[in-house]
Amino acid sequence: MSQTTGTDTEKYDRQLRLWGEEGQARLEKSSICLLNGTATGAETLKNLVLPGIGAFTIVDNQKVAESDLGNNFFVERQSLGQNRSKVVCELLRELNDRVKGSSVEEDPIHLINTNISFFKDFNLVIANRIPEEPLLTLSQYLYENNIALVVVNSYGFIGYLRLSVPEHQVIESKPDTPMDDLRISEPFKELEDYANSINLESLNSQQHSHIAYVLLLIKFFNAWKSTHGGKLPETRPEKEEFKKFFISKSRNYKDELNFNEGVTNLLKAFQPSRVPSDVDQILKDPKTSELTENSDDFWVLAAALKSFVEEHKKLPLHGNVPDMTADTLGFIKLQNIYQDKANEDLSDLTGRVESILSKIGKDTIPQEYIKKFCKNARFLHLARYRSLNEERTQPRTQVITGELEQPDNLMVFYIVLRAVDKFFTLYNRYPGFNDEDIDSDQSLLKNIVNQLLSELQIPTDLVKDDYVNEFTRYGASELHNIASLMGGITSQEIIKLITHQYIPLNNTYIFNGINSTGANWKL
Amino acid sequence: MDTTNDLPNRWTDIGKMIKRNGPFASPDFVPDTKTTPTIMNGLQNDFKVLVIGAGGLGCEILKNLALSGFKNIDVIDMDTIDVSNLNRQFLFRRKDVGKSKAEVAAAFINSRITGCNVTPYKCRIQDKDDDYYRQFKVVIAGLDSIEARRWINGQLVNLVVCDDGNIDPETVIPLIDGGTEGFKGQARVILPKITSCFECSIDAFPPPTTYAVCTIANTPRLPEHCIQWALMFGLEDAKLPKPFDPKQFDNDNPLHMNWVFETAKKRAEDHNITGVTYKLTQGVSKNIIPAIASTNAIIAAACCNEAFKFCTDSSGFLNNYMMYNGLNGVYTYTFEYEQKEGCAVCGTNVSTFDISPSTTLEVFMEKLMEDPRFQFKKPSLRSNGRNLYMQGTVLNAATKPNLTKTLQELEVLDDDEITITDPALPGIACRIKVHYLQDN
Repeated sequence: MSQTTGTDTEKYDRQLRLWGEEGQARLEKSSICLLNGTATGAETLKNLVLPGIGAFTIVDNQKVAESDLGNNFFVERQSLGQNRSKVVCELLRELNDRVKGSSVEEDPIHLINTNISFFKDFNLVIANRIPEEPLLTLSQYLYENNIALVVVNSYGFIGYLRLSVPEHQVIESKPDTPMDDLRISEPFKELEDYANSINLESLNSQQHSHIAYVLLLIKFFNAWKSTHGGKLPETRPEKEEFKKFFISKSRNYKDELNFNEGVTNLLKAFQPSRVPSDVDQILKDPKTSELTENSDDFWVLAAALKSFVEEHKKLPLHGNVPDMTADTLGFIKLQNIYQDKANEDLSDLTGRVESILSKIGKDTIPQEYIKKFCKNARFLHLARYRSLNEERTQPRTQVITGELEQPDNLMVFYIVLRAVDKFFTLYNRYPGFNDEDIDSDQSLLKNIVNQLLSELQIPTDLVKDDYVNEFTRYGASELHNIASLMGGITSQEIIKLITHQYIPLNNTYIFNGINSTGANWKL
Repeated sequence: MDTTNDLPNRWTDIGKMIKRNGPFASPDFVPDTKTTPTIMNGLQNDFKVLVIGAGGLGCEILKNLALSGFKNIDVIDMDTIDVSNLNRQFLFRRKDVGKSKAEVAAAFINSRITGCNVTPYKCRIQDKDDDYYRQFKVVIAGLDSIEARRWINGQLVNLVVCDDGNIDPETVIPLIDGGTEGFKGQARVILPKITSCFECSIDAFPPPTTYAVCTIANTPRLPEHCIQWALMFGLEDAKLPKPFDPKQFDNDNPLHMNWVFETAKKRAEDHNITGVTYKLTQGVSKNIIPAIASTNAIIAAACCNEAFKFCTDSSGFLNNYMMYNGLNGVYTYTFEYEQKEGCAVCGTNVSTFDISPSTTLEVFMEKLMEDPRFQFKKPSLRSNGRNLYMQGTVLNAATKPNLTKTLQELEVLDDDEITITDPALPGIACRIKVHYLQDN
């Protein structure tokens, strides 16, 4: 893995704290293509060039027009009439000298129709203002070649974003508030032995108030079980009773923070360690039982994890101990016990990985990768996106109708945007683009909306005329604020796709800039 | 500003919004015509916008305003450019490190966007007076400090003229406030005295991470505890040799930072604690919050979209708080943050404070300062026309002896009002009604 140089470490400090050196290395290896250097496209790239993607290419055959000077920050007055792809590319490159940028002066539609393999070496393609037909051609090619497609458009006050990639694997989903993995209700042997070895009566008050709550709970769970037929408290009254019993064991509940922490964490402690549904789905995926030498490392590891869970009924231990009241020595000892167990689980899993690898005849997987997978076993995430073609040939009519029936639902914008696309295909202009066409375009657009709804078998009264009229008013205008907002959201999703960290959108997002609300759906 | 030499088709995209009526425009919306371009004139001549902060959000906000047609923009920021700003503050280059953020940002915008006139001020917002703030149509804040936001919020609430409970709308200057942290952020619109204000939600901000002093001194467990130890005890310990004067400690100085790192590392080794790194040391010492270009772009654009709509009446509005979270999918949540009854800044109601009459003034003030409703920093208290406790030199000397007296001895009666002023809240006198508890 390439290490960023000293000064870049300083420059990138605020982002490295989020996605680390590994995420950064993935960004720096990425190559991204943008179709059309509009405000929305340029703003998206801006937020990718700044954190340091490897390279970008802009395909655009438009010349810089006066209207670009009113909404695009990456053109200048003296660039009027010049090739927009070249101008935008050069001004973006000024943001970060480590990023390679290039421009292709060609109509993106022509490129899609005549030379689709142009796209084969990119990791990701951003399509902006591409009409429906060439977009579907592009989408199909990228889907077949396992390249991510990101469609983003700003239309008046409305923003639209759609992601599509056949399969996206995430090991580090980095949840906001990860659950602790402390196994208090089902302690492993070493942990239970350590808890049992502590004789609370013999301790002075300083020591007594510095026994980690984890150990206290394990001790008193055992004490409870011995008088309750070997069972932990199950019902609410039993849990309440346990709480009183636990508090009664404190010498001075007001001052013993460790007992306080025990009570605070009591409900969590009753929860047995489970396999989260996201992870369970991965383990049940057919790919875990159809391994070949060509399988991804991810699926080999998932298969190994599946066999681990089948035997141990639990995921490997995470091994991290959150801070809790304890003295230094006691805390370090506790940390070591959890770490040792986590290492034991890791070598168990590694053994399973190795035996799978030798069975399918696949090369080794780096130990670091196995370790990361093991440590994040609870946070694995897998997404399979529907393609744009599926969205059209097998529409999610029930979802769309259900949403449209809700008052003020943003699905209505999705429908009208689809109709606007069809309008462009039919008339080769956007509705309301010219002042003199507004009235006639309103009824033309209305007809297309109704036609689309009928095709989808959705009652036509679910889209009010107000929305048709509002979109005709927009006349394809691209407002910088909406372009910048959508560029922000789009670049953030691209960072997640490229770093394979956090969980990207699946699959459609609409921003309504009229009231600043947003919604997302799987379409 | 002469707008006649502007290119005729430059503002085509904005033009459609301000020349064409739409079903979701504000009821007050009167579209521009060729002969009465009132809104365009407003954007280009009449409306003055203030941007507070020229950092991650500020750079974006300036760009967005300039490309929304605004021409008269002021920006205030007292900070200078640091190399760690360059991953997102796109108006700055390596050669600009050390220069004023406000000045470099303004110069960049003015040179890129023909006709735009951004005026920079390298100063504190507290250095400007009421007349200065009165000239703005709208204020947009892109700050990372709660203190500065409280101050500008208080200032704008204070400028609202209220006659017999009727608010003079001409004196209401909206505050559009954005904030980000990593993949998360929020944008909100505050109409002073009309909607909830920043102070209404002050207790919703989580307190900064703190570690118990005794943990740091006696039972360190985490690398963070060791770093805090170096900062709290190591710096003061005269026996520990330092390559600098500890009174001049500066967490931007790599030499000083390295000493903190080495000291923390030694302490960690002594206690068998692992994980002290230079990066973590910096993070803890400077309370570093991760920041990226994308989140700033989202929040700044949401703020400027509201400013554009407010100034043009061309659409609806954000009512009044939008949260954004990009950790898991794209999650936006928009809701109305309601005005808090008895808000110390924008409320008209008086808050009640329960206390025993035998409490000393000193304890009373401590309790007041702990109360999350108010968050006073250096309060001065008056009751029944007399000073109970005053900050400042002369009055402080006169009122200091009151600290040891009980409220009863100070002739504060049950249900009496105490008026409190605090430098954190400019020009605001907060009223608190004392409610006596029975002593048992």
